[in-house]
Amino acid sequence: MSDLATGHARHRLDEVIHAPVRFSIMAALAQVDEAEFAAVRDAVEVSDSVLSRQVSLLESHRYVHVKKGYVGKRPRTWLSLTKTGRQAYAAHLAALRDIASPTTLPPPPSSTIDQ
Amino acid sequence: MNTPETEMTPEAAAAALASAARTPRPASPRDRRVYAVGTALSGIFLGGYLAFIQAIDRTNGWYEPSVLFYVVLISSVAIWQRRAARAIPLGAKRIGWIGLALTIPVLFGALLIARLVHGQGPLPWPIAVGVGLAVAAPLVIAAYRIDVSGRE
Repeated sequence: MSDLATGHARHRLDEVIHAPVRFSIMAALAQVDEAEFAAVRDAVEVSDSVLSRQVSLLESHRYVHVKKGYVGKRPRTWLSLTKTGRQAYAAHLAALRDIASPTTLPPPPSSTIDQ
Repeated sequence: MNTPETEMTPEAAAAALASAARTPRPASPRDRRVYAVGTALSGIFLGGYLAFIQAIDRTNGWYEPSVLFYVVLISSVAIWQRRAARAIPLGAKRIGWIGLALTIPVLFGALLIARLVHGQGPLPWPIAVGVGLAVAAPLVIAAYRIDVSGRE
Protein backbone atom coordinates (compact mmCIF):
# COMPACT_ATOMS: atom_id res chain seq x y z
CA MET A 1 0.00 0.00 0.00
CA SER A 2 1.60 3.26 -1.03
CA ASP A 3 1.72 6.46 0.92
CA LEU A 4 -0.08 8.18 -1.93
CA ALA A 5 -3.09 5.96 -1.29
CA THR A 6 -3.06 6.20 2.53
CA GLY A 7 -1.44 9.56 3.19
CA HIS A 8 1.96 10.09 4.69
CA ALA A 9 3.29 7.21 6.76
CA ARG A 10 3.57 9.51 9.80
CA HIS A 11 -0.22 9.34 10.11
CA ARG A 12 0.18 5.64 10.84
CA LEU A 13 2.51 6.25 13.77
CA ASP A 14 0.94 5.32 17.07
CA GLU A 15 1.16 8.24 19.49
CA VAL A 16 0.96 5.92 22.51
CA ILE A 17 4.04 4.04 21.35
CA HIS A 18 5.73 7.10 19.86
CA ALA A 19 7.05 8.45 23.19
CA PRO A 20 10.67 7.34 23.62
CA VAL A 21 10.33 5.47 26.94
CA ARG A 22 7.13 3.70 25.89
CA PHE A 23 8.73 2.85 22.55
CA SER A 24 11.68 1.28 24.40
CA ILE A 25 9.34 -0.65 26.69
CA MET A 26 7.44 -2.00 23.67
CA ALA A 27 10.75 -2.83 21.92
CA ALA A 28 11.96 -4.73 24.98
CA LEU A 29 8.71 -6.63 25.50
CA ALA A 30 8.45 -7.47 21.79
CA GLN A 31 11.54 -9.65 22.23
CA VAL A 32 10.09 -11.87 24.96
CA ASP A 33 6.93 -13.80 25.78
CA GLU A 34 6.93 -12.33 29.28
CA ALA A 35 9.43 -10.47 31.45
CA GLU A 36 9.77 -9.55 35.06
CA PHE A 37 9.30 -5.86 35.87
CA ALA A 38 12.93 -5.56 37.02
CA ALA A 39 14.26 -7.13 33.81
CA VAL A 40 12.34 -4.61 31.70
CA ARG A 41 13.48 -1.76 33.97
CA ASP A 42 17.11 -2.81 33.50
CA ALA A 43 16.72 -3.22 29.74
CA VAL A 44 15.05 0.16 29.27
CA GLU A 45 17.23 1.89 31.88
CA VAL A 46 14.54 3.81 33.72
CA SER A 47 13.49 4.07 37.34
CA ASP A 48 10.78 1.90 38.88
CA SER A 49 8.38 4.84 39.09
CA VAL A 50 8.87 5.87 35.45
CA LEU A 51 8.42 2.31 34.24
CA SER A 52 5.37 1.85 36.44
CA ARG A 53 3.74 5.02 35.11
CA GLN A 54 4.44 4.23 31.47
CA VAL A 55 3.35 0.61 31.85
CA SER A 56 0.08 1.78 33.41
CA LEU A 57 -0.55 3.94 30.37
CA LEU A 58 0.27 1.10 27.99
CA GLU A 59 -1.95 -1.20 30.04
CA SER A 60 -4.83 1.29 29.82
CA HIS A 61 -4.55 1.04 26.02
CA ARG A 62 -4.44 -2.75 26.32
CA TYR A 63 -0.99 -2.93 24.79
CA VAL A 64 0.61 -4.49 27.85
CA HIS A 65 -0.66 -7.16 30.22
CA VAL A 66 0.43 -6.85 33.83
CA LYS A 67 0.42 -9.95 36.02
CA LYS A 68 1.17 -9.74 39.72
CA GLY A 69 2.14 -12.70 41.82
CA TYR A 70 4.54 -14.11 44.34
CA VAL A 71 7.67 -16.18 44.00
CA GLY A 72 8.13 -17.57 47.47
CA LYS A 73 7.33 -14.63 49.73
CA ARG A 74 8.56 -11.99 47.31
CA PRO A 75 6.00 -10.13 45.22
CA ARG A 76 6.77 -10.03 41.52
CA THR A 77 5.21 -8.30 38.55
CA TRP A 78 5.36 -9.81 35.09
CA LEU A 79 4.83 -7.80 31.92
CA SER A 80 3.94 -9.00 28.46
CA LEU A 81 2.64 -7.51 25.22
CA THR A 82 -0.95 -8.27 24.38
CA LYS A 83 -1.90 -9.34 20.87
CA THR A 84 -3.17 -5.79 20.28
CA GLY A 85 0.13 -4.44 21.60
CA ARG A 86 2.20 -6.63 19.28
CA GLN A 87 0.07 -5.61 16.29
CA ALA A 88 0.30 -1.92 17.21
CA TYR A 89 4.08 -2.16 17.68
CA ALA A 90 4.50 -3.97 14.35
CA ALA A 91 2.37 -1.33 12.61
CA HIS A 92 4.36 1.45 14.26
CA LEU A 93 7.66 -0.11 13.12
CA ALA A 94 6.27 -0.51 9.61
CA ALA A 95 5.32 3.18 9.56
CA LEU A 96 8.80 4.12 10.79
CA ARG A 97 10.38 1.97 8.06
CA ASP A 98 8.19 3.64 5.44
CA ILE A 99 9.26 7.07 6.65
CA ALA A 100 12.92 6.11 6.88
CA SER A 101 13.01 4.38 3.52
CA PRO A 102 13.69 6.73 0.59
CA THR A 103 11.55 4.55 -1.68
CA THR A 104 8.44 5.80 0.07
CA LEU A 105 9.24 9.44 -0.50
CA PRO A 106 7.16 11.01 -3.24
CA PRO A 107 9.17 11.33 -6.44
CA PRO A 108 10.37 14.82 -7.31
CA PRO A 109 7.99 16.51 -9.81
CA SER A 110 10.68 16.79 -12.48
CA SER A 111 11.39 13.04 -12.54
CA THR A 112 8.17 12.24 -14.39
CA ILE A 113 8.52 15.17 -16.76
CA ASP A 114 12.08 14.30 -17.73
CA GLN A 115 11.23 10.77 -18.83
CA MET B 1 -4.79 7.69 17.92
CA ASN B 2 -2.51 7.50 14.91
CA THR B 3 -1.76 11.17 14.58
CA PRO B 4 1.31 12.09 16.57
CA GLU B 5 1.92 15.79 16.56
CA THR B 6 5.66 15.28 16.27
CA GLU B 7 6.98 15.78 12.78
CA MET B 8 8.96 12.68 11.88
CA THR B 9 11.83 13.06 9.46
CA PRO B 10 13.36 10.04 7.67
CA GLU B 11 16.46 10.52 9.83
CA ALA B 12 14.42 10.52 13.02
CA ALA B 13 12.53 7.42 11.87
CA ALA B 14 15.79 5.66 11.07
CA ALA B 15 17.14 6.65 14.49
CA ALA B 16 14.00 5.29 16.19
CA LEU B 17 14.34 2.00 14.30
CA ALA B 18 18.01 1.77 15.28
CA SER B 19 17.07 2.48 18.88
CA ALA B 20 14.49 -0.32 18.80
CA ALA B 21 17.08 -2.70 17.37
CA ARG B 22 19.55 -1.72 20.10
CA THR B 23 17.12 -2.22 22.99
CA PRO B 24 18.60 -5.02 25.11
CA ARG B 25 16.58 -8.20 25.38
CA PRO B 26 15.08 -8.64 28.84
CA ALA B 27 15.62 -12.38 28.37
CA SER B 28 19.24 -13.44 28.79
CA PRO B 29 20.82 -16.63 27.40
CA ARG B 30 20.55 -17.91 30.98
CA ASP B 31 16.76 -17.43 30.94
CA ARG B 32 16.59 -19.38 27.70
CA ARG B 33 18.70 -22.14 29.21
CA VAL B 34 16.48 -22.23 32.32
CA TYR B 35 13.39 -22.65 30.16
CA ALA B 36 15.05 -25.29 28.00
CA VAL B 37 16.26 -27.28 31.02
CA GLY B 38 12.87 -26.95 32.75
CA THR B 39 11.03 -28.20 29.66
CA ALA B 40 13.47 -31.09 29.21
CA LEU B 41 13.18 -32.09 32.88
CA SER B 42 9.37 -32.02 32.64
CA GLY B 43 9.56 -34.50 29.75
CA ILE B 44 12.17 -36.70 31.42
CA PHE B 45 10.25 -36.83 34.71
CA LEU B 46 6.98 -37.59 32.91
CA GLY B 47 8.63 -40.33 30.85
CA GLY B 48 10.39 -41.74 33.91
CA TYR B 49 7.23 -41.70 35.98
CA LEU B 50 5.21 -43.35 33.24
CA ALA B 51 7.86 -46.05 32.72
CA PHE B 52 7.91 -46.71 36.46
CA ILE B 53 4.14 -47.04 36.96
CA GLN B 54 3.85 -49.26 33.88
CA ALA B 55 6.59 -51.57 35.12
CA ILE B 56 5.55 -51.97 38.75
CA ASP B 57 2.90 -54.18 40.21
CA ARG B 58 0.35 -51.57 41.32
CA THR B 59 -0.93 -53.77 44.14
CA ASN B 60 2.33 -53.65 46.08
CA GLY B 61 1.85 -50.12 47.46
CA TRP B 62 4.36 -48.28 45.25
CA TYR B 63 1.81 -46.59 43.04
CA GLU B 64 0.46 -43.90 45.42
CA PRO B 65 3.88 -42.76 46.70
CA SER B 66 5.16 -42.60 43.11
CA VAL B 67 2.26 -40.30 42.11
CA LEU B 68 3.07 -38.02 45.05
CA PHE B 69 6.78 -38.10 44.22
CA TYR B 70 6.05 -37.19 40.59
CA VAL B 71 3.78 -34.29 41.58
CA VAL B 72 6.46 -32.95 43.94
CA LEU B 73 9.15 -33.28 41.25
CA ILE B 74 7.16 -31.58 38.51
CA SER B 75 6.02 -28.79 40.87
CA SER B 76 9.63 -28.24 41.92
CA VAL B 77 10.67 -27.84 38.29
CA ALA B 78 7.90 -25.30 37.68
CA ILE B 79 8.81 -23.33 40.83
CA TRP B 80 12.53 -23.41 40.02
CA GLN B 81 11.83 -22.23 36.48
CA ARG B 82 9.73 -19.34 37.75
CA ARG B 83 12.32 -18.31 40.32
CA ALA B 84 15.42 -18.70 38.19
CA ALA B 85 14.26 -16.90 35.04
CA ARG B 86 13.62 -13.17 34.85
CA ALA B 87 11.96 -13.48 31.46
CA ILE B 88 10.38 -16.05 29.21
CA PRO B 89 12.20 -15.99 25.86
CA LEU B 90 10.13 -15.21 22.78
CA GLY B 91 8.43 -18.34 21.48
CA ALA B 92 9.44 -20.51 24.46
CA LYS B 93 5.87 -20.80 25.76
CA ARG B 94 4.49 -21.75 22.35
CA ILE B 95 7.22 -24.34 21.75
CA GLY B 96 6.65 -25.78 25.23
CA TRP B 97 2.90 -26.07 24.69
CA ILE B 98 3.44 -27.73 21.31
CA GLY B 99 5.77 -30.24 22.99
CA LEU B 100 3.21 -30.93 25.69
CA ALA B 101 0.39 -31.28 23.14
CA LEU B 102 2.44 -33.77 21.11
CA THR B 103 3.18 -35.75 24.28
CA ILE B 104 -0.49 -36.77 24.60
CA PRO B 105 -0.84 -38.73 21.30
CA VAL B 106 2.67 -40.16 21.76
CA LEU B 107 1.73 -41.32 25.27
CA PHE B 108 -1.47 -43.05 24.18
CA GLY B 109 0.20 -44.47 21.05
CA ALA B 110 3.16 -45.87 22.99
CA LEU B 111 0.91 -47.37 25.67
CA LEU B 112 -1.37 -48.89 23.04
CA ILE B 113 1.55 -50.50 21.21
CA ALA B 114 3.09 -51.73 24.48
CA ARG B 115 -0.21 -53.27 25.58
CA LEU B 116 -0.77 -54.87 22.17
CA VAL B 117 2.71 -56.39 22.33
CA HIS B 118 2.68 -57.43 25.96
CA GLY B 119 -0.93 -57.54 27.09
CA GLN B 120 -2.14 -56.53 30.55
CA GLY B 121 -0.10 -56.47 33.76
CA PRO B 122 3.23 -54.83 34.58
CA LEU B 123 5.36 -54.19 31.50
CA PRO B 124 8.86 -55.66 31.31
CA TRP B 125 11.41 -52.94 32.10
CA PRO B 126 12.85 -52.66 28.56
CA ILE B 127 9.36 -52.03 27.12
CA ALA B 128 8.48 -49.65 29.96
CA VAL B 129 11.69 -47.70 29.42
CA GLY B 130 10.91 -47.55 25.69
CA VAL B 131 7.48 -46.10 26.48
CA GLY B 132 9.11 -43.62 28.85
CA LEU B 133 11.65 -42.51 26.24
CA ALA B 134 8.93 -42.05 23.63
CA VAL B 135 6.81 -40.00 26.04
CA ALA B 136 9.77 -37.85 27.07
CA ALA B 137 10.85 -37.19 23.48
CA PRO B 138 8.42 -34.38 22.47
CA LEU B 139 9.29 -32.21 25.48
CA VAL B 140 13.02 -32.93 25.16
CA ILE B 141 12.88 -31.95 21.48
CA ALA B 142 10.88 -28.83 22.46
CA ALA B 143 13.60 -28.00 25.00
CA TYR B 144 16.24 -28.33 22.30
CA ARG B 145 14.22 -26.02 20.04
CA ILE B 146 13.89 -23.45 22.85
CA ASP B 147 17.63 -23.57 23.44
CA VAL B 148 18.73 -23.30 19.81
CA SER B 149 16.18 -20.63 18.87
CA GLY B 150 18.06 -18.20 21.13
CA ARG B 151 21.31 -18.71 19.26
CA GLU B 152 19.81 -17.82 15.87
